[in-house]
Amino acid sequence: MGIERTLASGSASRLEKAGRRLWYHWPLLAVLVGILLFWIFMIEWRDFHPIVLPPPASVVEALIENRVEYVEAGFVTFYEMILGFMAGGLLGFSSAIGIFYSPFLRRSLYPLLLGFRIVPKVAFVPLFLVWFGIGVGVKVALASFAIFFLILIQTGLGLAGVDPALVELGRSLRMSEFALLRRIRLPAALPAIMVGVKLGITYALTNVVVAEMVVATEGLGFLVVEARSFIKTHEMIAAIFVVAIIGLVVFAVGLWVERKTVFWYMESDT
Amino acid sequence: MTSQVSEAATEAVAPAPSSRTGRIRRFVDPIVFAIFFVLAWQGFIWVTGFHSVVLPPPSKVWGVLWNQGDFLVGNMLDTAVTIAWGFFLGGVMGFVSGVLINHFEAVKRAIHPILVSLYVIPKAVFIPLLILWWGVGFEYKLLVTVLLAFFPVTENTITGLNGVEQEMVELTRSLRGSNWFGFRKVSLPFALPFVLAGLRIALTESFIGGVLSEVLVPGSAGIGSRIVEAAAFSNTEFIIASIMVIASFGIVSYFLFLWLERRLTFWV
Repeated sequence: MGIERTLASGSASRLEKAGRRLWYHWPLLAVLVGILLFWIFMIEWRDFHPIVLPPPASVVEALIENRVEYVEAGFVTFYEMILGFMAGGLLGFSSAIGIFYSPFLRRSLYPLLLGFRIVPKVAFVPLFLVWFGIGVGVKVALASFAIFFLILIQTGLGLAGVDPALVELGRSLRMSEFALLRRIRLPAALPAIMVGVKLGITYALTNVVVAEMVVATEGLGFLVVEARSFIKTHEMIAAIFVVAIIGLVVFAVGLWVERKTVFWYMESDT
Repeated sequence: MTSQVSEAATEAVAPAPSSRTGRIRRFVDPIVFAIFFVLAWQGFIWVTGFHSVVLPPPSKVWGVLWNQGDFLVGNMLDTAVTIAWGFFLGGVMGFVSGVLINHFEAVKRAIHPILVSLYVIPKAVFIPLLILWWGVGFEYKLLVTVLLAFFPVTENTITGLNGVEQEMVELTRSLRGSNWFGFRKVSLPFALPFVLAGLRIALTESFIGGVLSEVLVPGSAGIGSRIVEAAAFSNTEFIIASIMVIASFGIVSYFLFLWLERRLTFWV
């Protein structure tokens, strides 16, 4: 299937190529349409109250009606996410470098890192709530905290996986330790770090949204919880949909960033 | 794409030492660091004078662990039931889905993009919807945990099965005359490391699912609800103690799984 496609698409026009891509995805479109039909069917068949399962029409209506609110909340969520990502990322990155050069730290922190990584970051929300109060601080803190570990581990992995031959080459050229770090170790570690960045952006968004759901004041997560407290299920589904779209966009951005920075590194499954 | 890299990372960062001193130090160093950390913690409080509500001293946290230990562990076990079931069900469903997606091209084109999208978006947003439809009992928590644990297994199963060399599978198929044999003897063993890595990620996700579902429903069984309730009373030492309990359970289960993984894939 793949080979025919490649051979056939050689001389096709752009329109033909676009059409072919659409055609390739027909099962997906069919499933999406099917889900929509199933949705409507469930309402007809079981006669659900609109509070339990609102008709698609009302969800679309809610989307259009509240679009300004979604954009505003989206900005807040996005802003918190970016802040958290940068703070956590920088801290994680520098800590990883520090740990790399200290075998004691490396050995002692390894099990602790694991333990902290497996603890759901949600559990820290109440703690951060006490420390940072209600507001942007909590969410940024949670996102930074989560990203910190991810970037730390990824940078550590990258640095540990540097080809020793490269390091030896650098040493034979009498490079200083700093130059070694800058010109050999870090670039070699870049693919692993970029994986962390790609996953981190999504992870930051998830944590920010979760924090917003618990500390309900503003942001998209808050909109979901707010709609629930007003028992406006159609608005809740609409808000969920907006979050989903943003999640996809954020992931696409992460993928793009990764591709742009490590285009020289062939990853087989991206 | 959302690869299994980050999980393998922690092993690479601190590789198993070969020398005897190295092995002793591997045990001793964390303990030394922990002692140092507790002292620094106490010193930090002494220097900054934070009120005990903001940052409780180690003694208070220890007090909670000592006095309310069984309460903490009891709740943690409640959560652990949810986590275990969610992990098991999510893992099985994830594996089966991965196999099906990999095997049927139409299914892959239809379902895989949806699954990837769901993997990437914050799944926590679905929780209020799930609460609406399934209430606040064990069923709902199980659903949340399965939802979170399911995707890493699926993704990794697909990646693992994809990597199998087609020639090998076809050779075995031609020798035996059945697809199933090729699958069992070639594809599965090859994919096993990937599947297990995916399950390891799913373990972490199950923890998140279990605790998250409780945090959003204060008043139900499980340690997540207890944490949220403690927050309402600004019982910070309880929160920190609970986090430690969760961390201990997490570390133990993670290393258990790692051991299991190594036993099963000794040939890699």
